[in-house]
Amino acid sequence: MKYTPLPSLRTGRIGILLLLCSICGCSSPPRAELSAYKTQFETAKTTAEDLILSTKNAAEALADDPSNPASVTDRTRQLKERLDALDARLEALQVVAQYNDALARLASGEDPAAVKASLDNFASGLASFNIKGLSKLVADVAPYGNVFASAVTLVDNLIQAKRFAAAIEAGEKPVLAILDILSQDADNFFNIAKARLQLLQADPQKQEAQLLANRFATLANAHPFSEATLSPRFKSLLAAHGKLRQGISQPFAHNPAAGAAPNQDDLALESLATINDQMQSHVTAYNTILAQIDAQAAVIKQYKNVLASTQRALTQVRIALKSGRSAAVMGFINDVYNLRQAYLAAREAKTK
Amino acid sequence: MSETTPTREYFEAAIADLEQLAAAETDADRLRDIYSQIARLRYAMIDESFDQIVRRTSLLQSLVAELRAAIAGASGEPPLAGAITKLNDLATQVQGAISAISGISRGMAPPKRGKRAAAAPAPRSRALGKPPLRVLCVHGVGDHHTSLAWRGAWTDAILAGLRTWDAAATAITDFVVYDDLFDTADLNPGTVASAIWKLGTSGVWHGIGDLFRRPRGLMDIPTELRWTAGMVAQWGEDADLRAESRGRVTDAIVKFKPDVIAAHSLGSLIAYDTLRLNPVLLQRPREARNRTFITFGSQIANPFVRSTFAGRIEPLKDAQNWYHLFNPNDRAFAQDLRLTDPNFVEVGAEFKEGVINHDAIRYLAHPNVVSTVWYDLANPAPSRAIGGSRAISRTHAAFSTVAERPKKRALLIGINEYPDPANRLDGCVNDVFRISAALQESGFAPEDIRTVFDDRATAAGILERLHWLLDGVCPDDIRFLYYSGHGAQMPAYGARDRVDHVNECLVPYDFDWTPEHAIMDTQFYDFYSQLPYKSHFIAAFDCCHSGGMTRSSAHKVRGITPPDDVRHRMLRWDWVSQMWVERDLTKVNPDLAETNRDDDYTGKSRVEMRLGRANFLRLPKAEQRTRQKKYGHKGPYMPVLIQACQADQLSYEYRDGVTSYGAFTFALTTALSTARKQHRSISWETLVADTAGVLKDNKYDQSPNLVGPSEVIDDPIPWLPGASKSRPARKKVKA
Repeated sequence: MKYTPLPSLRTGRIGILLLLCSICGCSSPPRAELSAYKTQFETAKTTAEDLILSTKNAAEALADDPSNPASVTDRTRQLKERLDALDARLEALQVVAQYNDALARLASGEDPAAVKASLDNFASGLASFNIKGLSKLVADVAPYGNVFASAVTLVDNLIQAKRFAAAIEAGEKPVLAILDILSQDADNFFNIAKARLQLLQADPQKQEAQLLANRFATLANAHPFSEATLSPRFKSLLAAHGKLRQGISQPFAHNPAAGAAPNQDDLALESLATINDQMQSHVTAYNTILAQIDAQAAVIKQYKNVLASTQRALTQVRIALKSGRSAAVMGFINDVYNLRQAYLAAREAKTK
Repeated sequence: MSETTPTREYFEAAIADLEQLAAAETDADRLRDIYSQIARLRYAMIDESFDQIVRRTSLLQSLVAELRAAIAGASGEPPLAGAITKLNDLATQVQGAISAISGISRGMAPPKRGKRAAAAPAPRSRALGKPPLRVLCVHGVGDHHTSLAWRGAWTDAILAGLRTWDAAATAITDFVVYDDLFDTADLNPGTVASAIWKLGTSGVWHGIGDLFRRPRGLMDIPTELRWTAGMVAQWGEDADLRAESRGRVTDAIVKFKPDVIAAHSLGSLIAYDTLRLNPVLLQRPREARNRTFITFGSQIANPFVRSTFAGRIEPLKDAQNWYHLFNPNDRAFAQDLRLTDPNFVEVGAEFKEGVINHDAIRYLAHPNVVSTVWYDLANPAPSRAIGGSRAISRTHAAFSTVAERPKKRALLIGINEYPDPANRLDGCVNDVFRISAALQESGFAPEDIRTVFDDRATAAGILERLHWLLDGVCPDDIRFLYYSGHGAQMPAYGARDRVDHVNECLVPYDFDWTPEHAIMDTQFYDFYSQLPYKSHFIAAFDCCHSGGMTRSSAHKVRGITPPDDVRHRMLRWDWVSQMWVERDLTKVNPDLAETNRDDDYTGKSRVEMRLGRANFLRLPKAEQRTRQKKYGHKGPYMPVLIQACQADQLSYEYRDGVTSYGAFTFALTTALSTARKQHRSISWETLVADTAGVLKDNKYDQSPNLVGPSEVIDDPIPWLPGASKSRPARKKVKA
């Protein structure tokens, strides 16, 4: 039994298919690229949230810092401004995440199960598209049920694809700009963290070390050691002191005083040794802080790399959507790996 | 504003200046003052950084608002109802326009079409858009019922392939999952070990060699391979499991009605099994095209698997096309498939990824696959005509150009100058020239005869030339292989890493008693077992395989003695007789060995894998016959084998004046020449009987052996006069 289509229905079908052609302006969502972009963004978001929260803590600590030269009124105003600004970043991250979820929902519009259902059983398939009353329409064109079912599926897919394309078009610019802002913020976050570390921890240690260095110089130059050029212990103390000074970039020249007779050499040497010991602890603490700052700098550098590759990943989604070609999406792996390594290094620097 | 705002560099420079002052300062109070100034600068630097953050906030907030709008646009239900309404409106307009142009209007009769065209709807024009391609995917080995991620990856790869050629192409995928069936099937380590050995035997020559050169226990090979071997073994040995698996695929095809069935690895075996036993599943009488079958990473041509199908993979004639994607680096026992049917094409998909190079996505996304398979599917031929497939038309352009493809080809191998002087022979090269002359007198063109001699006749060299001889053979083609040199028997290790059989082999120039440097049936059957039944492949071997027992013969013997370590494999110490005696090995395929053809197939000892018999592919006789009937074929292709002597005889050389020949070759060519001169049409049996007569007349104690399909060996030799198109009525002489 062969069904031969009536001309009117055939032309109707042609019309439907022509319409489909007219709708066919875009490809379906490039899921691989979208997935890569989402993964990238999640990594960037986690780091960004950490940095923003740290900076919020810094803002609160600065407001409470009695050494802060700003007035209490200014500090209170600044704190509110700063916390609001940082909260705006957190909100922006959430909105970008929502946008990404919306993209993912659109991309999953081609769920094979849903499409399969629509084709196997069109009437029940309609339910999955929330279209009421279309069953009757289909019943009226029963001989073309299959064609119509295919058409509806195609239309749906194309609408989803168009929506996806429109969503990309509408969202790409703000997302890229938001990521730009986060990248610029990253430098500020680092400057704040670095300045605070130096202000609160590094500078006091360095200052104390310099004071001790000055005491060492005064004592060493003022005391006319009896065997100044021969005493092994004195030479050893001088050498150790020179190394400590290198740690704080302060040169030292030994200019012993002449004239007075040597007196209580052992006591003087013991004092120099004590000064060195005290200075050692300050220099070590100072260098530890510098290491933390370096580690933080590495984190920020990699974080900015991840932000940049997230931007590239989003661009790739659009490119893949337009061209229908698979784009290279795996470049971010190195960035994420390097960020992780930088984090580990930073953590290690803190625990030293 | 930004120009007057102090930058980080400004602050850092100012602080650096102060730090220099501090370094030179010896007064404690002044030092504290300097550090106070540094602290103020640091506070200012922090303030400035915060200010910059705050200044960007308004821009950020506007961007967030813009993004919220984008999200609002992307959310919500698709306006499908509106689209349908618009669609109907447009359809009406288009209908009117088309009616005006073409004159077709309501009530007019449709144009008449031919019978064939009437049986199927008119092909959808590309300009009018195409329906989504429906692809039924059958997964391979692995866990596919707990994770769904692989489905998206397959779908993406298929869509990407199609959209390379048609940006608007759509595809709907459905998936057959069968892992759960295997969870309950019995499997023991012995079965797995045996399966790995059998699966890997042929793999030595197809990419797995570096991992699996010799059976060394299960722990020496990657887990993926053990898993693959285990599941393939389960499937191969459990008829119920195969039936259940077929049921899954059948149900899916019936329900999903796919255009394409794409099957990976073990899935390809299940799908082929289903489609071979129920070819109607490939047919779509109401559609323009039948279903297309794609296999990739498939073990279907592996001898172990082939034996499940009674030793032969038959084409799927009802498939629109069958694409077999083959990666020569695939170590999961995948193998290339030799079929010459017009709807079959093997697509090379070479890649390396991971350990076993078996990834489904890499196959589907391979550039060669994209440019052939997906091109064909994105641009389907308008009818069932094969010419519409670019891949297939390209293949057949290479193999099937009748004007250029020679009907007859011969490969002649002769080795005199073996490296070991004790093994050197005198007449083998002469034999080749004598055979070549006889063939040319019988109509073989000189350019269709290739020879290989002495140090060029290595194992690899011979295998390479076998490709030339036997690739792309079509029905009625004639292929002749001749070998003159030493033969040998090589004790071989089986599944349990013990010597359990003997391989009859040819001895190439670089022979060293290892499988890699010998020509055994495990490599040879790969070339002939899939040949079309109606082709003629004749192999003549002027050598013997029981050689070396007598070294001091007056005539040179064409067989060599194994070295003592190899010989020891076959011996045991008999403490009663206090002598070394031959070990009793278990008969290979005892059911086959007990038939009246035992000598011909498994030798006197019943443990030999003789050349050209494809014993490896054969099941016990009853089971073999049952499955041959089930899968609709006659088992592995069987060449006509003419051997210089019986299994327990030696093959000698003959000196014709001062010129040496193989006694058998001299007699064979003499018999052929006589028949040709007398314009007699003789059969293979007659030729061998005549040859035996010549040998007997010359007092040689060697009687040539003829083995071949019973319906062929009585046929006239196809290239002799009178062996015309009309064959004499066939009579069954042998079982």
